[in-house]
Amino acid sequence: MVAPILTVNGISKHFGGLKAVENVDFQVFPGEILGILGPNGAGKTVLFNMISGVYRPTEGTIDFRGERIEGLPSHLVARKGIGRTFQIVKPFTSLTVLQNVLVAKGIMKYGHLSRIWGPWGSRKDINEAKEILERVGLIELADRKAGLLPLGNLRRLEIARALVVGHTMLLLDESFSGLRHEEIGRLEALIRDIRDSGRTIILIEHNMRVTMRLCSRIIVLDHGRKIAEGEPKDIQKNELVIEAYLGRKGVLDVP
Amino acid sequence: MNTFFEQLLNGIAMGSIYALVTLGLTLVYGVMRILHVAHAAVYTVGAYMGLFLYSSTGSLLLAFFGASIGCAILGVGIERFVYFPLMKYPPFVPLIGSIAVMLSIEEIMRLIAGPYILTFPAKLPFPDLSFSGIYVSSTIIAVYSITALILLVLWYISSRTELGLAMRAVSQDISISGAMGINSHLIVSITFVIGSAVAAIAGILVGIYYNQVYPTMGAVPAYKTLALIVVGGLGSVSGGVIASMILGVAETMLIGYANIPFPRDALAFIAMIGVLMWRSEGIMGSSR
Repeated sequence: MVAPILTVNGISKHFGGLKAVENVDFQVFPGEILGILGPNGAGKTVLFNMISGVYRPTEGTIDFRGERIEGLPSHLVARKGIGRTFQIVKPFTSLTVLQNVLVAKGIMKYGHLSRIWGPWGSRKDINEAKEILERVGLIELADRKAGLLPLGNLRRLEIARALVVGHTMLLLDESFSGLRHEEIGRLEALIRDIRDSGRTIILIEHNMRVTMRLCSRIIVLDHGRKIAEGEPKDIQKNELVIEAYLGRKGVLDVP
Repeated sequence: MNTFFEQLLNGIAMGSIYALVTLGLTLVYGVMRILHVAHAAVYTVGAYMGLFLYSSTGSLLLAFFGASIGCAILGVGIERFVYFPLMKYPPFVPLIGSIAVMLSIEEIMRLIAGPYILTFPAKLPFPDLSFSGIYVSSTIIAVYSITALILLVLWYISSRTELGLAMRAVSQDISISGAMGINSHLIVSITFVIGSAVAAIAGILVGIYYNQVYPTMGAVPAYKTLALIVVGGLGSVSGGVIASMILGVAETMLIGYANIPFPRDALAFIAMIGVLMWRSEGIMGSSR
């Protein structure tokens, strides 16, 4: 049995009386793609925000490679090698595509007063950033202002930045939403490629077919609680899931 | 004709000092989206600290350095203890907090130093020059050189260093910057250190330029620089500097040549209204 890389234990987040996430447990194993499904408002993004340090959990613990990370500020979580994307794409619009990746490249320097006064964009950093842009298919647009890119490319840019930071784990928040059919295929291939390079991925997704194809395991949230966990084929058949999330069975019939 | 050039030089000097104060305000607005009205109080404190250090040690260099360090500490204090706790409320809350800090500091300065106008009889280590009849005082040369040096250093920091890139990232989105590993709180504090140190230098320069230091010397700059960052385009450093220079020259020319009974301090606001009607994002601001 392989040891889990991330263990979420009894985690809850309450906003006043609203229980956005309630007592959720799960584990993530190295090299897998774990999907998180659930209707809008199920608490998926809140869960990501707790793992990535945006929110401090009301209760529960998060263990990443043997270290407790719940309640750490987001920049310290990032420095442990957890990169993330956001549901609403937010590039640094006034910077170029390459500069956007270089911001992430400076990651270890921003905490050290003595190291932030040096010039940014060393030859080594630029070459590494270009390699990543090559990998996500944005190299031709390296010098374009990020604010001018269409959505599909912005999603790739977000993944490029998350790749720089997340040398161990990536949290992808609805990376497929709003993409055209052919873009979905390319992004799927990219995510598989990232997994094959040895990283662990958790993804939140609305696109059922994509989730079923990509993920080795899936957990399903509803009203902040985990209602199911298992392999895609089991999730597809789970009565609770069908009732809570899908309403009708047909959607799950993936060829 | 000579008077014209001398007025022009005075105007640019005035504009340079406005630019130095406006810079801090622009940088703070950039990373925190707060109108840092109390910045003008930091500038007043800088002038007093500089005067105190100069009159007790006789060293202008010490006055500039000491006041910069003192004001940097004051600026970070305001950020940590006033703005940071108020950030979770709507923007007018930290703004009101800022006004409160501004008035408190003014009153504290009045209590400590008295409600008098003090003189700042410093001789700057620059020569008085004269070019074909146009007299250029050592003060003006000092203002020009110091402003140029500061702008050059800030340009280098913002465009060439990791810190500059991090500041640009934080000013666009704090949560994304966090996810990129940037300690945004540290970056915000450094911004306050830089802005406040520059404000201290501006305060000392004004003190020497007018040979006056008094508790409410920050009152007019407080609202004038607000108009300037709006005219320049909120968050745009170059816009703020350009707007400051134009205002400095326009004000000086107005006093020198216009014989109409026109309050010069109104000019910044008339310009603000005009620019907002023409380009609501300011002269260098980006439209969103």
